[in-house]
Amino acid sequence: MTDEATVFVVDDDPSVRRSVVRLLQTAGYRVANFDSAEAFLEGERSPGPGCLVLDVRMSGMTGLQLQRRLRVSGRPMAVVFITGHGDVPMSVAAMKGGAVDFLLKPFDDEALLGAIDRAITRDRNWLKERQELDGLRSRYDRLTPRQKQVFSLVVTGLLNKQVAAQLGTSEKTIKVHRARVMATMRAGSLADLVRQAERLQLRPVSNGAGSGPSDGTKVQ
Amino acid sequence: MGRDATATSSMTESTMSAQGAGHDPVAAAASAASPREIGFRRLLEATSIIQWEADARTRDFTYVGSQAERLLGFPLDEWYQPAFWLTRLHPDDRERVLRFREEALVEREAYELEYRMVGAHGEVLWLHDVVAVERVDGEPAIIRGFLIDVTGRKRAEGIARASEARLGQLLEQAPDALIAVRADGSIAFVNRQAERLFGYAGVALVGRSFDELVPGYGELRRLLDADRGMVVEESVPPVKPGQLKPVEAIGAGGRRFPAEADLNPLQTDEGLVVVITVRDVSARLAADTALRESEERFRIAAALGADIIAEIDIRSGAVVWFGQVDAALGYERGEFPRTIDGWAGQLHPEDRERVVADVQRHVYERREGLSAEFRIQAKDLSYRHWTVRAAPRSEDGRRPTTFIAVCQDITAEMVARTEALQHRDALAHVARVSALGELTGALAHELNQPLAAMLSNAQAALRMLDTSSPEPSLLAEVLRDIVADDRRASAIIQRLRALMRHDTTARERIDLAQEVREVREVVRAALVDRGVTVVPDFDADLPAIVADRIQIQQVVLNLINNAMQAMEGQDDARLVLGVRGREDGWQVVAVSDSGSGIPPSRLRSLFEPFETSRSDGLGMGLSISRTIVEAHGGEIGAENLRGGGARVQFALPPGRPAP
Repeated sequence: MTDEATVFVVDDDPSVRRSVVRLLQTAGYRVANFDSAEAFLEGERSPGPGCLVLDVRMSGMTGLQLQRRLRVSGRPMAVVFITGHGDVPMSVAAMKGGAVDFLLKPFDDEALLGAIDRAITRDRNWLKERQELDGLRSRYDRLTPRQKQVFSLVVTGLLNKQVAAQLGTSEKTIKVHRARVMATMRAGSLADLVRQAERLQLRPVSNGAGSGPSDGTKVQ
Repeated sequence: MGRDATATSSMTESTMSAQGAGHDPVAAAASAASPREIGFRRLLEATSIIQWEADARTRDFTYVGSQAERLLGFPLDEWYQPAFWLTRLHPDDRERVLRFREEALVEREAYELEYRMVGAHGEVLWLHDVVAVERVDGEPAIIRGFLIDVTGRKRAEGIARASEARLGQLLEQAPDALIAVRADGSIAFVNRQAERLFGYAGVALVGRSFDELVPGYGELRRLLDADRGMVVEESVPPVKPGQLKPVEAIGAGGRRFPAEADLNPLQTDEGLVVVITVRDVSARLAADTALRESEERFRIAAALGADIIAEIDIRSGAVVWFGQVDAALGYERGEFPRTIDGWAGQLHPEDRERVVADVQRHVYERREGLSAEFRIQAKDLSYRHWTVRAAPRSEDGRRPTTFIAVCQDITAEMVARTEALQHRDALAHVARVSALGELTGALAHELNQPLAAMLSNAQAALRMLDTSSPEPSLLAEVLRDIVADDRRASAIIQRLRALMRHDTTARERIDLAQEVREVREVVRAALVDRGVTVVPDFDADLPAIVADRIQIQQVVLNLINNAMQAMEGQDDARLVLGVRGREDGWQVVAVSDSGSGIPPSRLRSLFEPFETSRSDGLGMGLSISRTIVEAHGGEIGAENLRGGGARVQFALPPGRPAP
């Protein structure tokens, strides 16, 4: 997993694409370019941070449609729109869709590079959060069903004794389970454990089946 | 029916005179009655006086004399139906009768009233009702009485009122011949003017059918037909009075004469009376004919399209004007010169010498026809454009001394012609500019692409130069890209400028398919924006044709614009665009859309100016397109496609070698 950011340029005008790629390369970015939204979707997506420099008006899928597609795909990407003929409704739609910026062609290099920096920072944060969540989830998955039960009860603020009563076992046993949970989840304190439960979106379950994390894409 | 009712009434009145037999036996209800009563009932039933008995509250009959069947035309059974009396009561009398009855039942032992009832065939009868009230515990329980048909009496009263009081005086004083006709078509009254017109003494006409005087007067027939069965105040007939209709009238001794007739229905208590006005129009027709004939003579002279005709006596130089020569030139009546010299004096100085010389040579010397166009001065010193055609009047082979000249003022036409030319030019410009307005966004997008590329390239080059070791070959590549994009931008601007140019460009040899492709490039962004799929349909290797490329592009642009508008909001909009060669060497540019097609009513007038289905359109696009195509010797047409959508196409003739 590399930390080097990639800028994806999607524009159906060859000379615009060429010049933007050139500018970004000169500025030190790793750049990939596509002549249509469809081509971008088919292409390989590097796992590192990245952002999208996207033309609004293209034949085939438009930039706004691509943005929407990515948003619902579970792998959103920070987008900088560039357009030759922007109007207010179009830019509103783009910004509502989470675009970092909406630049009118011809745009200044500083404006483009600044927007790309912001976009990459945003993408990095997303990525970091996602990686943390992924780690958290894999650790959680390593817990036994009993440990998961103990986890979900402890984070509701119950004392060991109460948890033991609920699960029909001894306080001592619970103490052992709890220590294992803390260790596996790498939680330093009960407070840590509670935060983790929030991020995993655990719901406390009184007895029997343990609860699992809900769809991780909702986590932001 | 009305006459039936009348006939019935004439047999009745309150007399007890015996009528024909055939009446029904006494009702079963009366079987318990004493012999004397039975006898009395029999006697009554032999007359038209109808005895009845009914519930006091509802007036549902419990007994009715059998003659009742004849009276209204309903079988006796019906009379015994609940609410029969109420239902058959004339609607106009209902309120009055019911109110009267209500009061009478409370206060009186007996009462009488008159009202109308409607018979089985819609006929209306006046009835006199005599009612006795029998009470049980003080409440009215049973009522009994007699019904007497008094229609005849009512009618007689009505006639007296209508004909004497109203009609008599009015009709007599009227200047026209007036004839009052009864519902049966018989003449009830004629005034003195009518007697004179038809040549009869009044007494001789009364009672005769109006048809004998004016046969085939359809309005009267319709009026009487509509009235049939409604003797008393019924619905308004559909024939409208106040419209003079030409008819042929027949007077005493069979003398026929043209006339006009009008009618005026009067609803009277005893029935319809139609007052008919008859006017002899033979004198007026004779005058009309004379007028038409003289007009015809003029029309023959004016067949050349004249406003004013002049008769010129070339020996005296006198001119007789027919028509409004003075008014035409703003003069008082008779003020414009009545001589050939005076006329020449009014000519525009630039025209005078030429026209006078022509007149001298053709008219005076050769005595032959002449046509001339000149300006002539009006009273306000402005000049009017006239055309004149003069011809000698043939006089039995002798040398003609009289000329007839037909003059026409064509000033308005001249002005209109000039204005129309300027107007169309201006509109073409407006349409072009507005078409561009719609495409400005698209063009801005087009132009911004190379501008964006140039800026990014230039700024990339600057960054390269900032580095310690700029690569010359890389820089050269960047500069070449900038040059290419600059050219691209200027080409776009040239296209724009060419579209906006307002002068007429010389024709040149052009590659039609290439021009069409270029227009498609101009509108590419707009097409993409609207999600229109473009299907190209071009023949390869078509020869060049001779045309004004800007104008042809203008036409193609119009057609594509229209097609896009036709598919506005459509999901799978599809535009087929192409150029194909025809066997005869013509080339056809076709634009087909997948819209909803052209309404058949608009297909014919599609290319007329200001013909538009859009609220924001000038309706000039297709009109200008046609003008341009026709100016190229081409043709343009539109059709609906079987699978939906429409195709507009124009064909241009093959190119000849450039001159």
